Amino acid sequence: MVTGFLTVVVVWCLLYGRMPMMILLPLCLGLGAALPLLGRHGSGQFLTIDVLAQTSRLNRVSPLLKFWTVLVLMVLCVSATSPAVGLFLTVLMLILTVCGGGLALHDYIHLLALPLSFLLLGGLALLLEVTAQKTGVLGVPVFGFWLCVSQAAQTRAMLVMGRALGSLSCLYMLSLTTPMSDLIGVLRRIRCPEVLIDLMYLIYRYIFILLSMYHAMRDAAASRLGFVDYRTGMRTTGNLYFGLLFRSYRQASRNFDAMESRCFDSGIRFLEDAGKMKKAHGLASAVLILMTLGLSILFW
Amino acid sequence: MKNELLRLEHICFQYEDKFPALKDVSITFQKGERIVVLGNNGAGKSTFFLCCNGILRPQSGAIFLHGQKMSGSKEDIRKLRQTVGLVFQEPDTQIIAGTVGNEVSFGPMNLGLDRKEVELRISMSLARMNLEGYESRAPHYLSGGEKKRVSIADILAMEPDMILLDEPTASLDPENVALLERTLEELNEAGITLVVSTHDVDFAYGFARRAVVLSQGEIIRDSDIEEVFRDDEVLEKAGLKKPLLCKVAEVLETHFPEAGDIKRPRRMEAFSDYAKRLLGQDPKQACSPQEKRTAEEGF
Repeated sequence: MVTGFLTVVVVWCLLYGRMPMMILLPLCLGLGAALPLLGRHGSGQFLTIDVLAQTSRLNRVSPLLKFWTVLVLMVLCVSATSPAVGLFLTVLMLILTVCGGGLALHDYIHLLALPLSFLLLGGLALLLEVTAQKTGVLGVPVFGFWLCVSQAAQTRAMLVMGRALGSLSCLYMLSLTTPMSDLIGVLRRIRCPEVLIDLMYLIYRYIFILLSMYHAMRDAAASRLGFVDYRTGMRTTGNLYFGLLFRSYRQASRNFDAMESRCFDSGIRFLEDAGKMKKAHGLASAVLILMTLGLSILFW
Repeated sequence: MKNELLRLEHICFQYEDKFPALKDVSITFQKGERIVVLGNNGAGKSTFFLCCNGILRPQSGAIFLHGQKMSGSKEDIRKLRQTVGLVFQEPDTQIIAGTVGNEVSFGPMNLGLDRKEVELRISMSLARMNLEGYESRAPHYLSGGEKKRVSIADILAMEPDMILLDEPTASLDPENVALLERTLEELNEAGITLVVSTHDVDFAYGFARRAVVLSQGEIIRDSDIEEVFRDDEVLEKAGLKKPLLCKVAEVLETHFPEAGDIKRPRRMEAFSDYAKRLLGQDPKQACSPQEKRTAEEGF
């Protein structure tokens, strides 16, 4: 809802004076309404991304290819001098993730809403200037000052937001279609330090173990009225975290035993996918890159 | 002995500032055996397994693998861990990777096998555990029974001669326990020695031929499972109950003196034959299926 309102304000300021009122007004309201209407409510779990990546149709595409493609596209997007490239990539990635990966549109928009609200706030800060007199295309008097939007600020904000939105969409495409273990595999192949890789594998796994431990303990505490009022709730939460720390220590030592029993000595090694890249996939990503490159040259 | 697989001699183990967890434990496991380790909580079952696998170093005593004494050298420990696999009680203790395929590859990769061999072993052990097509699934979205199967596949991929299973039935529903029983049967038929620790005496009675009873870190009985469950003194000391079928047979033996000559049934499937021989007629004809069911449940 807040994001929707922000969208209306920012798009209004951004495009005011650049197109006839007849188009601008419905565009603002349409975009603002699209977010809360199309987004899904209530399923705000941060693990959703992991579940979605597991079920994406694009998770069979070589993760290495995806990684490099996204990297190149992001570089192109950030170095472009026109917001068109960013917008193009935003739409492209949405199509790729939703149509290609089989992700529901409202899930995508719901996930995008959070970073988008930060982005819009940032955009607003770039747009507005506080001046003593009314300047620029748009002005609102506030306590004897003027909040103004100049044409230069509009251009600048559009470019920055276009770049940010484009890069964000690229990263979303990568993380919504690639399971975490594949991503870690990519990092290993581009020679990230072994220690980091091992830690990443373990942290990823332990997020789930600790989280289920935490949920079980929290539910057990709640069933004994541990959260009956604010004071008790605070105390219970403290105990819960202490218990979690203690149990994770014990769990860690047991886990280490289990790793040792499978001949672990140093460095976690898994059999990684040879990652054979399909020709069609390689071709598709080349086309994507060329299209983006062409667009950024066109709008230079 | 030619068929000797693993021998423990006078093993003593003590955790820091605690009472001894294992006291002078000596035992020999033969090839192809299926054994249960019985005992209540804190009897030392898990410690015993961790010693067999070379995770815990006993303060005194010796371990022999294929008759060869295991020194504390890296080489020997590695050999011990590869030959004697250990399936932990909680699958989550064991599973560390983000996908099932990666998870199963962990053991073989640690053994330093080449890529082809690792791939072969992954598909072999997943197939054996009915987990085909699970390679790219994430373990944290699997059910309890599936996780258990993954944790066994983990060990199978290392091709051990012997597998120790710590309380494998503890967190499984009856359907998965039945599935596990069948799986263990198959593994044993393939020549793998199985040692299972459990509280579930009914499962133990049907599964094993030999039972080892641990109590307060000591082996208080090691013999044919039939004899163990006839030994009331040992059962009381170890805090164990008798299996249902064992109790039934005992009741029948007091009423039918000739029952003592017939071998006691260890599984429900064998019970019908037992009853047939005892009563001299087919129980299916003697009573309707429903009556039979109530009779079975009534015991």
